This record gives sequence, C-alpha cells and structure tokens, in this order.
Amino acid sequence: MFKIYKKFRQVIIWVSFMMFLASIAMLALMTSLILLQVYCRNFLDLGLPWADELARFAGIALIFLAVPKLLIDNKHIRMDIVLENLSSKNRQFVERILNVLIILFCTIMLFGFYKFLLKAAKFSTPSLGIPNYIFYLPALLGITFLALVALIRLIEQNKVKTELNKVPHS
Amino acid sequence: MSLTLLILFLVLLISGLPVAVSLGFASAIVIFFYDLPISVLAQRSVNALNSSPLLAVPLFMFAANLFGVTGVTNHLFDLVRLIVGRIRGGVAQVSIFVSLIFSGISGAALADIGALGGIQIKMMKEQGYDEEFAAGITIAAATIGPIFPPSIPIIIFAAVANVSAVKLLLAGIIPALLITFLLVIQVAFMAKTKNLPRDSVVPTLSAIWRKFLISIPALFAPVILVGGILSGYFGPTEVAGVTVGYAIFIGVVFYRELSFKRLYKAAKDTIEATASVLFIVGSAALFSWILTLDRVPVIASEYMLSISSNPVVLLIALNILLLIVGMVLESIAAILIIAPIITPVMTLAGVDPLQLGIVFVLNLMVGLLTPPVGMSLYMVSIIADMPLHKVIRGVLPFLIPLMLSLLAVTFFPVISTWLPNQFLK
Repeated sequence: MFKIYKKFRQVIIWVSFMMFLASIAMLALMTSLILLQVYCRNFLDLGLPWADELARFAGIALIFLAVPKLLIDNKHIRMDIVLENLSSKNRQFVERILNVLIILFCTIMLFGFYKFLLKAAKFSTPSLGIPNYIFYLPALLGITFLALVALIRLIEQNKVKTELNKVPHS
Repeated sequence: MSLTLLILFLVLLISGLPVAVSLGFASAIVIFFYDLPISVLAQRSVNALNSSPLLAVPLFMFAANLFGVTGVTNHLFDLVRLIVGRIRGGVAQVSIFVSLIFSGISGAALADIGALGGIQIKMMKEQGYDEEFAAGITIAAATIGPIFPPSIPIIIFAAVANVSAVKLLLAGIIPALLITFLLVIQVAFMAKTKNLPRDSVVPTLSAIWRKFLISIPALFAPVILVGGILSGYFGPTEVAGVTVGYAIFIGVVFYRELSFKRLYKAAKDTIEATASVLFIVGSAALFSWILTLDRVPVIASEYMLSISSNPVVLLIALNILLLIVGMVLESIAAILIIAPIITPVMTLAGVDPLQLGIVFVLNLMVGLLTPPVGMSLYMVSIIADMPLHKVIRGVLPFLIPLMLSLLAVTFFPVISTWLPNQFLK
C-alpha cells in the first residue's frame, strides 16, 4: 500500500513539474507569436488572426498548467495572517481543512467542465478551428492535478515522520 | 445570494485558502445551491482569461525578470547613484529615481521590491541610515511602479472596466511623476531633519560617462515602451512582447549575460508570479458574474447616486472605501471585484474613466503599505529580515506624499486625463 502511494505521489509531482515546464514553453510560444504578429503587421502588412488566437490559448494554458506546481511550492497568493498566529496543532488542523476545501473546489469545477463540454465540446475556435475539448484541456488538467496535489498534502499532514513529508506545507 | 457569496468568500479568505480558490469556491457553492447552471464554472473562468490585453501581464513580468537576471538593474542603480548620490540623503533619492526608471520596465510593486529592495536597503544600512527609514522609502518608492506604464493592475483594471488600456497606461505617467516629486521633497526634508548621510562614492565625470554608456540599452527600454504606446504603433500586449524581445536581444548581444540558465530562471519566476495572479482573474470572473446576476452593480449605482451625484464627493467616498478594502484585500482581487460594480456608477456621475482608473489603482497601491494585508510590508520584512512593526513604522512618514498624490489625482482630473487626451484623441 505504502509502495503504491509512493509511486502515485512520485507520478503526481513529476507530472506537475512537466506541466510547469509546458507552461514555460507556452510563455515562449506566446512571446514568439506576439513578435511574429508585430513583424507581419508592420513590415508585411499582414494580419494574423490565428496567431492572436493561438497566443490567447497559450496564455490560458500557461496559467492552468502552472497551478498544481504553485500549490506544491506554496506560491499561491493567500492571506495567512490568521493562520500564522495559530498554535502549531490548530494550524495543522486548519491546513487539513483547507486542503479538503481545495479538493472540493476542484471537484465542483471538474463537474462544471463536464457539464459544459457535454454541450460545447463539438464547437471549435473561429480562426484555428481548435475543438473546445482541446481548448479547455489545459484548464481541465490544471484543476485535476491541483486536486491531486491537495490530496497528497492532506495525506502527508497525517504522516509527519515519514519520508513522504517532502511536499512543502505552508 | 450576493451576501452569502461575500460572507463565504471572506471566511474562506481569512482562513488562509488561496485567494483564487476562495473566490472560485464561494462562487461554486452559490452556483450549486442556488441552482444556477454549473457549466458556467468552466465557461466563465476560462473565457475571462481568453483576452489579448491580459497577455501583457506575463509578458511585462517576463521583461522585468529578464532585465533583472542580465544585471541591467545593477547598472541603472550604479548610474543614478553616481549622479545624485552626493546630495544629502543621496542613496535614498537614488532609490526613488531607480524605482522610477525601473517602473518603466516592470509593472508591479512587488516586482520592483524584489528586484531593487535588497540592494537599496543593504546600501542604505551600510551608509548609516536607520533600517526603518530604509525599509520605508523602499516600499514607498515601489508604489511608482504600478502607476507608471507598464502596469499590471492598470491593464487588469482596463480589461475589467472596458477602458482603453493604452489610454489608461498613458494616464499614469503624470501621477507617477507627481509621486516621485513628492517623495523626493519628503526625503530632502527628512535628510535635513534626520541629518542623513551623503553617498560615500565620489563620482567622476569619466565614471558617470562609462556607466552611462553601459546603461544606454537599458535606459532605452522605457523609451521604446512609452514611445511605442504613444505613437500608437503597438498595443499594450505588443509593446510587452517587443520589450521581452528587446530584453533578450540586449541580454545576449550587448551585455552577454543571458545564459540559458538565466533565461530559464526569468521564465520560471514569471510563471510563478503571473499564474497565481491570473488564476485569481479567472475565479473572480465567476464571483462578479453572480454579483451582476444579483443586480449588485445596479443597486450600488442607485445607492451611491442617492447619496450624491457630485463626482468629487463620490470619488472621496471611493477613496475611503478603497483604502479600507486595500487594507484587507489583495489588490488584483479588489480590482476584479469592485471595479465592475463601481465603474458604471462613477462614469454615470461624470467621473472620467481614466481618472477613475488611476485613483482606483493608486488607492490599492497605498493599500499595499497598510496592514494586515500589506504585501509590500511583508516582502520587505522578509528581504531585510526586519520585524513587521519596524517596517510599518518606517513607512508611516511616506504615507504623507502618497496621500497628497492621491488627493491631487482625486481633485484634479487633468493630472490623469491630459496626457492621453493630447496624444490619443
């Protein structure tokens, strides 16, 4: 059981890191597309609506693909003034609840995605014709892995003295 | 419905849940229990981010990080230090001017503090300034960044309030110069009363010339940026992209400092800083959708206009509201929640949207200096390894020039509206 969990944890953290790298690639893609648009419009008198659409897709993917890694590194913006003034025991308890809330939030969001894509998956974007299920895929992946990272944090808060406790807690 | 939403959000926020999740979860619960279409969760949160102007946010942040990793920031600091360092309180004045120059390539107060704060505070402490003063001026000078273009909060405000981002960015130039001027006066006054030291570095003309030559490409960046916007040649997103391209070009060709490792670091820092902010934008879209559904903007408009229809009175009321909000709410979240409600009321009462944008953002930037959610205070406290109460004490005198600037932009709309109306009719 312990071995399976260890493998599961390893996979989630590895995928989150890969998604973060993909997010960096999206930043590079977005920058290149914007520069290409500037060049084509000003020097070739050529508009590139597809580049604008692809840049916006990259912009969305950049955010959602990075979200799980941000939770691993504890880099989400939050107001922790109350939390910091709690005793260690109470703080651990609140942190546990917070991780449960993140998982709940992601579950409702995923249900929302499911409902939305049931109706809208067949439609595509205007310029590139990207199907909606691809367009929304980064968000879907980001939210799914956000829930999984929160789950790992929740499990590891109960295993204080194991080597699994390497995922940083706040 | 809106009250439930607001209470839920505040409880979740105070409990320490990430701001984006607090906004999204509160909205999701309301949508779920009030039987609203749940598919909205996916559609609204993603579509809010499907916006060209918002692409400028990661790009400007990327440009600032690239300038940081290539050592441009240090060159700028050294140059300004050689020019103004010898006057009394010189290093403090250097901090203000470097913040002004750096604000032309960065778009966030926290990015400015991150890039410049450490070096500024260290240098002031080495030269005998007390650490409270050093922390205070560093934080106060960083408020110039989000007012002078490029500015992340201004771009987000423009997107939310349906105002031209280019015009609003230009509207920030004169208020930013006003804040700089008032901070310089304040430091000059404190230099006399506190007998602050002069810089120990003795400048020579040849040293200034050498530093100037090496800094030319860096100094050219704000020129490209502001010139690009003023000429109408580029939009804000394109200017951001061009600034990134320029930063990479000078980093590789001129300074020869941009290795792959540094490029990766700049990109990594950019993603970390912007993904968390833009994740909030997506969740806040759900929040404001519920408020709109509940007619909160209309009710707020009617209520505010029943108090007064005088734009100045309404702006003063807005100042008070935002100063309080800025104390407890993160600035981007505050823009996303309040701007869609307030903007229609204010414009209906005759407030120019450009003036409104600047008043709004300046208020929230002052909020960065006030506890309990003063992000700048926390950041400097960490950078300078100082207790928070000392940082707060250090920043207090600098609230005077900042509040004066706020009053000036509130009472004199021309400060914000003149420049954009001159160049972009």
